[in-house]
Amino acid sequence: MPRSVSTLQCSAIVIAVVMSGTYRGSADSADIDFFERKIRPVLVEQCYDCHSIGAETIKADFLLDTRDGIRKGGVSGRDAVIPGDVAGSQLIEAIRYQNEELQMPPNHALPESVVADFEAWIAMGAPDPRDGVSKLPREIAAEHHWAWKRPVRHDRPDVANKDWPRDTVDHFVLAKLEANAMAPNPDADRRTLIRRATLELTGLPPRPENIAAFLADSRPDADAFAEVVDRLLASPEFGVRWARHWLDVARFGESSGYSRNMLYPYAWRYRNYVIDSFNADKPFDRFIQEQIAGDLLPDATDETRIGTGFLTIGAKTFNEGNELLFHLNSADDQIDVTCRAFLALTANCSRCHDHKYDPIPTKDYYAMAGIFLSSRNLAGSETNVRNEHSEAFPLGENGWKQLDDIAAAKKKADKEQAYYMELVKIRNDLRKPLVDQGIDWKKAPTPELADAEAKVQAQQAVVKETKAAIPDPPDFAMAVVEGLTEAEAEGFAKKLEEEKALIAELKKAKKPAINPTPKRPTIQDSPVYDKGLFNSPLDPVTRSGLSLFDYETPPIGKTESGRRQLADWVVDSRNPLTARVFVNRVWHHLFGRGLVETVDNFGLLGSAPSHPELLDELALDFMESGWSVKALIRRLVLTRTFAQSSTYHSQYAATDPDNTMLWRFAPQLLEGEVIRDSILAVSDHLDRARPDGSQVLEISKQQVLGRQREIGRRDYYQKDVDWNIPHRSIYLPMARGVLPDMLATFDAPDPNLVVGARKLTIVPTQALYLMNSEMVLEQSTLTAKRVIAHSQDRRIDFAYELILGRSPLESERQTAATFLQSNGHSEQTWTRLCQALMCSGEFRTVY
Amino acid sequence: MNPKAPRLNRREALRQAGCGFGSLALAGLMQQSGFAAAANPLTAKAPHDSPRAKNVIFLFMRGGPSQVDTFDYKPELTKRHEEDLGGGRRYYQSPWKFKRYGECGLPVSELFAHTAQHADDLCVINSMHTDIGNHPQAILQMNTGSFQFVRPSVGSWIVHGLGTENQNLPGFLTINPDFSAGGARKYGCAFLPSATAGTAIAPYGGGDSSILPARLKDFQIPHTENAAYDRRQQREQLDFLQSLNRQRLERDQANPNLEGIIQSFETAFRMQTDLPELLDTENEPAHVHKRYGINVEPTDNFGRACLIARRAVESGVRFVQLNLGFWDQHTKIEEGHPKLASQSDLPIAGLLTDLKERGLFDETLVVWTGEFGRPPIYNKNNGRDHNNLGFTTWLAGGGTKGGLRYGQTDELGYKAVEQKVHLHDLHATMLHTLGLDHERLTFRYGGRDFRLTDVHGRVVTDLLA
Repeated sequence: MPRSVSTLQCSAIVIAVVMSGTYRGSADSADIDFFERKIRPVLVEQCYDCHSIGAETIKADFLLDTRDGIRKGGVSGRDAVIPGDVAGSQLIEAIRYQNEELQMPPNHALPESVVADFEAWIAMGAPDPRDGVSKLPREIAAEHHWAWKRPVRHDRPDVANKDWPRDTVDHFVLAKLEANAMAPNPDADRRTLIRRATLELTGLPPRPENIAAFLADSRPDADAFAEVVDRLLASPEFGVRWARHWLDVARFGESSGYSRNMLYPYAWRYRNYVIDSFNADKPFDRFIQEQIAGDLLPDATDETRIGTGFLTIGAKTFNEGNELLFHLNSADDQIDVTCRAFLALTANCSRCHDHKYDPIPTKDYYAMAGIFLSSRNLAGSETNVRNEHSEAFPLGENGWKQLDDIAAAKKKADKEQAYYMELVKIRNDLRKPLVDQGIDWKKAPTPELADAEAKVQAQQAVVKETKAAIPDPPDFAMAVVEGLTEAEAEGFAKKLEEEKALIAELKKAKKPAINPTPKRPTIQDSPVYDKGLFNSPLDPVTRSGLSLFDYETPPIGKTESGRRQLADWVVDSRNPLTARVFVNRVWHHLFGRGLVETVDNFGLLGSAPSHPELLDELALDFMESGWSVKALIRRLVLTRTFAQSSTYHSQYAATDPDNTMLWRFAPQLLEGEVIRDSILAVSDHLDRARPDGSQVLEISKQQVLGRQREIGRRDYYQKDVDWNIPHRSIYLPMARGVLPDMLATFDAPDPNLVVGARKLTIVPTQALYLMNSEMVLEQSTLTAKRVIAHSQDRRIDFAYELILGRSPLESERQTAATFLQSNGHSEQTWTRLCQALMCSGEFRTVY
Repeated sequence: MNPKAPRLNRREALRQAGCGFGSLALAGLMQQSGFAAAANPLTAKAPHDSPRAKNVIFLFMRGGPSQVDTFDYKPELTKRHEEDLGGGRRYYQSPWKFKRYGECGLPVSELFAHTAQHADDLCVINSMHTDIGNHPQAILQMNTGSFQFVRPSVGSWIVHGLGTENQNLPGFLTINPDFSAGGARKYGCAFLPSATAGTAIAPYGGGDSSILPARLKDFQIPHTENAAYDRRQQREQLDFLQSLNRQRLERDQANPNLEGIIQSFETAFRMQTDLPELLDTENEPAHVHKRYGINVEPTDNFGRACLIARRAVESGVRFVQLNLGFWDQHTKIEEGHPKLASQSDLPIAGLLTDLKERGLFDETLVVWTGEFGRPPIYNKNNGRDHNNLGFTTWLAGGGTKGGLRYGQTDELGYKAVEQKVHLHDLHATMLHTLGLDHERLTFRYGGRDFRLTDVHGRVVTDLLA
């Protein structure tokens, strides 16, 4: 560094110290004059094109058109101008052209004299009359973003067609349609309606007898339909359908995925918990609380503890060698799923830098990370490297005690076994001389040998007894529990030390080793990690939820992780997002498109709601109804908006092709699960009962050494799964990376990602599956048998009724008759006909 | 697909769709009119810029072949041979002889003597480096750009960017992938449309070399055979089905999904013939079999893989990945490396010859790489451990510069020191050859635009002809 600069720097520091009290924006006129003459013109000419609010694209988030902005700096996070500190000011670094990575202006260096002016200006305290807080356009937008404001009631809008609306929902929808000179479609016919509702609510097609009953119901449409809907909501199939939607969001998978793909033998309990929660119409706020803090609720039970499986079923890099990084990655997954699933926020963007769009600073991220890092994940997955997650949560009132008892009983049995081995050795030593002398010790034992033999026999019985006395293990689940308090951690660390010594001793003595007790997290705040780097910790931040709302997270005590408070913060009625996000998810599933299209992102990059008042109305009613999911779904399904036919309207389609205005019920493609289950239902070979546990549990039991339970290792898992089960698809094994082929072909979501809206595609491999798979061929044969059971003249009608839920049109009946005629009315022809109906676009579509 | 098919109007086309006759033209027609494009992510798309290559054959050498024993000749290592580094570790020269090949005089070890015959067409990058020296992570990073997050694989990105030329075949094939070390994520599509994911041909379990890959000789693609009906019966059934679909479409008036479904069945009907045909190399002439080492051990399986790759790109498949491993010889590298090299050297040379002979070489980018390399050091087990600081990748065809030895590791072959090329740079360059700008090839997921190269990557223009 040139001498002159260091001198300047020294004097600058002096000036800064002397003047720090005075230069806060006001400056005497001579200094301001210097700025106006020497600095401002350069800034305007050389920099404003890219670094002012008027710039077409603001580069590096750096605005130097206000005093605030030029001092704050841009994306690098360093202060660009530090009054009095020439060397520390990044602006100088940039214009000096000494840092190869940062040279400004980009095309040419400023003349030396100008650089000197800037240095002098900073040295004199960077006097700058340009007032105002510097904000990037997106920061300004973020402050006014609709989603951060609480939902409010709006007047029910007036509509011209007063006969149409049945629910307030319809008023909002119709008002918008009328404002755009559109009219809603007429109601769909009853056949269409019952098929639509049955598929949407249960994921199965309606049975012919249910269709018949609905058609025969002489009451007005609305009343008759309400009865159908109530029946569907009460059926256990409802929970199966809607749990699957939630499992997509909860990134449900039955293994750790990533690089060492280890099975999660107990993930299925969480899956069943979700199904049961929807069937029981568990209030949704409670459902959230259980998933974040089910172990900490005052009325916690096994069921609520299983709910916390939500946090630990995510993907994990079990062979991550760095322990801290491993835990930070786990916490990242938990922050991501919590914020995305409940709040539709992409908070994990803030791991490395403040969120680029939403007001989520990095310190908020680590405030939440602290909560999860203070909790212990019990994944029940024995792993190659990280065995912290090998423990599972023992269910039952005395689960942990039961485990202790088992450990104690095992220890006792080991001791008896060791003593038995000693006795055997003594006996064998006594036998040896006899054998050497050629004496048959069986016939002529010495008294000592006889005595020793008796002792062996006696001890054998003791061993058997103590082994038999080992209690059966409790049932297990995946769950999250609290980390250790600081006081506990100290004692625990000591215990680990002792254990380590013992293990070393055993190793030295070549005695059987014991598994070391996994380390446990301690309840404590997490530091911010600079740029997300685990080796760059900065100051710790107090554990809490995010700071973007106008209320605080309840205070978190020193000895609790804070998950309870986090859950309360999420479900707080002041939270502007939680209720909106969920009612929008429900709307998305029913209508095929959310009121907010980006169901997983309500932030600035998300889309704006098409019907903001309606969204607010639904969110407020949802909360007031006690967060009843069934009531919400019932309400929406009974609207006239939902009852509309799907009939196409070319004029409306031209202006609103995506049906944003809801001028019709838009046809929707069905998911792979629904297609598979429907095929089984149609052939009457669907087993609606819930299978015990999961194949994943059974398969993991087959492998004695947990460490070998890596999917793919020696073909483990792939060869063991029976994909051909008669149960609903939700019960198929869902290990990450090895999804059921059929579901993967039909766009099952990647269980590593939070997916609120599946992207359904149409590809030939789906057609190949429907045309050629053993499953479809078999089920169409079985379906044909059902059809043939009817009289000749009823068969075509019944096939249509069974598979498509309607009667054939005359032209269709004709087509079918021709096909049968030219191919012969054999069972095989009927099978091909039934298969064709199952392959049809209509079968895969809700109209 | 017949590009010269008469331009029927859309309704007319659909009227014919169910009738068998004319249905072949339909797919092409729909393609041309951009019809149902929303439903089919595989529709061929124009690249950002004018491309050099159209297709990629990615020869992925799982486990990390050693550079100083293959394509990174280090005479200085010979001078330091057996220099003790403690703990049984010592510098160790390559046990294989190097020779200079071609006009460019590229030094290649005897392990790849056949491939070396193409020296003047190889673009060897000796200065590769990557972030992590641990298989599972490094394998994922080489295949997806990220070891930490769930991201689409390179092939999926490319199919997303360009679609594919032959709608009767998948756009992305991966041959003999294994289930471990990231499993299907190595060819997965993450948030991209599922049709962009790799179709696995003969996948197999097992992370170690004791398990042989599923033999291509006996492999059958699922759901391409119908156990119940012959093709004629199937066609009749399909005509019946399409007639039902058409009647429904008539009533729906406009339904792009249904149009897509109609198309997908026609394509599938042809795919069930075309895809097995693609894999069936039996009818190739004897001299081609010989060129790839088919029906001869140890080259049979990888030879078939290479021949399938050639047939695939010839048929318009966009991205073909071949997987061979496990090059992870921590113990007795002198046994392990020759085993894998002898399985693959002749087939790779055969592939390059064949591509050239059939005029495919210039439009096909061939990439040979491990997830990382190995140090110039033997451990006490006479093996080499992992090394992510320097390794060698070579490119061929696709408008890359042949006969080039680019970048350097230090004099012992350990660390990349000159003209360093990071794995992200390799990805950016691969996309570039296809006319794709790695900064513009994005996909919006969860409110953010994602890229294969994230915020990294630089096109290494020096590698391009």
